[in-house]
Amino acid sequence: MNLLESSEQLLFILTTIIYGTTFLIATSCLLKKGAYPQKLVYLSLIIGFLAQTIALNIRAIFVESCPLGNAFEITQFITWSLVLLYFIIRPIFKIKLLGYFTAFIAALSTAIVLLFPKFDEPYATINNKPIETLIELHASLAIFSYALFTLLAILSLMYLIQQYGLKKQLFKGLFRYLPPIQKLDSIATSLLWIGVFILFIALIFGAVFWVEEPERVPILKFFSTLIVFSAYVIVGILKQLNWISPRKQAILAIVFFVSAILSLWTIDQPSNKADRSIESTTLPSNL
Amino acid sequence: MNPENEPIVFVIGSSHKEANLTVRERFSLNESEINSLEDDVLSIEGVDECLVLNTCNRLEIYGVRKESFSIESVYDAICSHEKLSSTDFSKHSFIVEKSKAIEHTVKLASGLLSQMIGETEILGQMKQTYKKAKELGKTQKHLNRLFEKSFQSAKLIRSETGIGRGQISIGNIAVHLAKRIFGDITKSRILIIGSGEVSERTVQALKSNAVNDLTVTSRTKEKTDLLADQFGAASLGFNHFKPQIGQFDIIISSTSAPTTILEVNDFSEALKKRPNRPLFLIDLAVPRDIPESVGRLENVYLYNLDALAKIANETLALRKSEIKKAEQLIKSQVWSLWLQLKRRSMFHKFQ
Repeated sequence: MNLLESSEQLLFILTTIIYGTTFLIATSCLLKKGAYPQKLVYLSLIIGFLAQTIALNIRAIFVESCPLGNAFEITQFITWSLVLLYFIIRPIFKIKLLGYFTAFIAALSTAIVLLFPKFDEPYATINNKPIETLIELHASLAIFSYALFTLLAILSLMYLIQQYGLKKQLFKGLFRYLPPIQKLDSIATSLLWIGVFILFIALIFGAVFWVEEPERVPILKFFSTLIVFSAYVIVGILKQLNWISPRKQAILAIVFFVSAILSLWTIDQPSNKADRSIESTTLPSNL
Repeated sequence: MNPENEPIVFVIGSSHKEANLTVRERFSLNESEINSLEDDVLSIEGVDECLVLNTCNRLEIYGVRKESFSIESVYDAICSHEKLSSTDFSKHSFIVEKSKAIEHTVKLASGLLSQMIGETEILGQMKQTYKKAKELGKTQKHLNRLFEKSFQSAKLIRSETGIGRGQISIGNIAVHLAKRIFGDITKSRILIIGSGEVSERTVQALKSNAVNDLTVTSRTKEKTDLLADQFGAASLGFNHFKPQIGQFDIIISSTSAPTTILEVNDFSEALKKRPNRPLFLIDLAVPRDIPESVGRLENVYLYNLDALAKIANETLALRKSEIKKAEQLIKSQVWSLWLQLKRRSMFHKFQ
C-alpha cells in the first residue's frame, strides 16, 4: 500500500470522524446548554468537506475517472454533493440546524460504507472515451439528484420533528432552533422538483447510452432509477394537486430516500462481464 | 484630596420587592418631577452625581456622596423630598452602597432583579434614563463608569448564561409559536373572537411584530365595533364568521361563552379551503371556546391558556436555574468595576 492509498483511506475515515464528532458535539450542546453551536458546525463541515474532496480526488486518480463505480464511491459522492448543497442552500434559505442534520446523515452514510468493505470491491472501468463521458455525465447528474433527495429527506425529517414539537407543545432544546414548518414545506417542495428535473436530464443521457449500447446497461439498475424517478414525480404531482398534506409528503420523501439508497447499495454490484473493452481496476481496500 | 472626601456610590430606592402595586403607584413620577428630584438630590450637601430611574416596578435614586457625609443624612434628605415624604417612601425603601451598589446596578441591568427574571425592558429603560441624565450633566465620571460597565456586563451575562432565553409572556409565546409555524407573520391574517386582557396583550404582541391584517368579531355589534376601534381592525358579524375561518391563519378566541363556540366540523370545512396551509388557534377562554379534539386535525395547532402558561413556566424555571451561573459572573464583573472605581479615586487623590 503506497502513501497515496493510505492517505486516501485515512481521509475517508477522517471525514466520517469529523462529521460524526460535529453531530455529537452539537447534540451535547443542544441537550446540556440548550444552545446550538452554529459556527462550530459550519467550520467542521468545511473541514470535513475538504478532506472528502481530497479523498475523492485521490480515488479519481486510481480509477482514472469520476469515482462512481461501486456503492462505497457512490455513497461518498452523494455525501460530498450533499455537503456542497448545504453550503449553497444555507445562505439562500438560512435554515437553522440544517448543518446539524447534514452532519448526521453524512456521518451515518459514510460510516456504514466504511464499516462494510464489500461496498468497496474492485470494479471494471471502461476505456471507450466518448461513451465514458456520456456515462459519467449521466452518473454525475443522477448522483447530484440523489444528493438533492437526501437534502429533501433531511428537510422532511426537520419538518416532522418541528410538527411533532408543535403538536405536543414542546418548546425547549432542538425545537427552539428548527425552522418554521411552512418554510420547510415550501423549500422541500422546490427541492423535490429540482431533484426530479436533474434526475430527468440524467435519465435522458442514460437513455441515449441505452439506445447505443443496450447490452451494457444493467437493466435492474436502470429500472430502479426509473421507479425512484416516477415515485418522486407522483409525490410532487399529488402535493401540487393538494391531494397529500405536507406531512405525508415529508413521510414519503424519507421513505423514498431510504429505499433509493438501499436499492443503490444492493443493486450496484460490480459487473465484470460488461464489455470486452473493460479492464479491471484494483482499488485500495477500506478498513 | 482629603480621604474623608472619597466618593461613594449609593442607591436608594424601592421596587416590587419592598412595595406592592398600590404603594408603587404613589411613587410614580413624571419627567419634570424626575428632573426636579434629581436637582434636589444634587443640591444635598456632599452629593456630587445623581440619576433617578423610574419604571412601573421601581423608583431608584443613584448617586455619589462624599465619605464625610453619612448615607443616613442623604437618605433623610431624599425621604423628606416633597414628592416622596407623603408616599411612605421611607417605609418601603432600601439603601445599598459601595460594592453592593455596583452589584445592584449590574444585577438590575441583567434582568436578575426584575419580576420576570431575565426580561430586557429594564436594560432599555436604564439606558434611556442614563442618556438623559448624562446629557444634562447630572452624572459624572463615577456614575458614567458604573452605568456603561453595567450595560457591558449585562450583555456579557445574557450571552454567557440562559438568563434571557425563551419567552415568558403569553403574548410573546404566541408570537414565537406563530413564527415557528409561519416564519414571516407580517402577512398573516388574524381573527380575534371576543376580548379579554390576555387576548389584548396577545394582539399587542402580534401588532408589535408588524402584523396588521386583523379582524374582530363579538356577540354584539357594539362590542365588535369597539374592539375593531381598539385594535385598528376590520369587523365581522358573529353570525357570519364561522364559514370564513378558513381565510385566517391565526385565530385568537377569548369569549365568555359557557360552552365551546367552534366545533371540529367548522375546522374540517375551513381546512378544505386552505389545503397545505397551517392554522394556528389560540384559545384564551375559560371555559374553552375550541374543543381539544380540533388540535388533532392535520395542519391545526391548538394552544389553550394552560399550554401557553406551561411554556411560560418552563422558560421561567430555565431562567431561574441560570441565576447561580449569572451571579458568579456578576461577582467577577462587580469586583473588576469596584477596583476600577477605586483606582479612579486614588488617581484623583494624587492629582
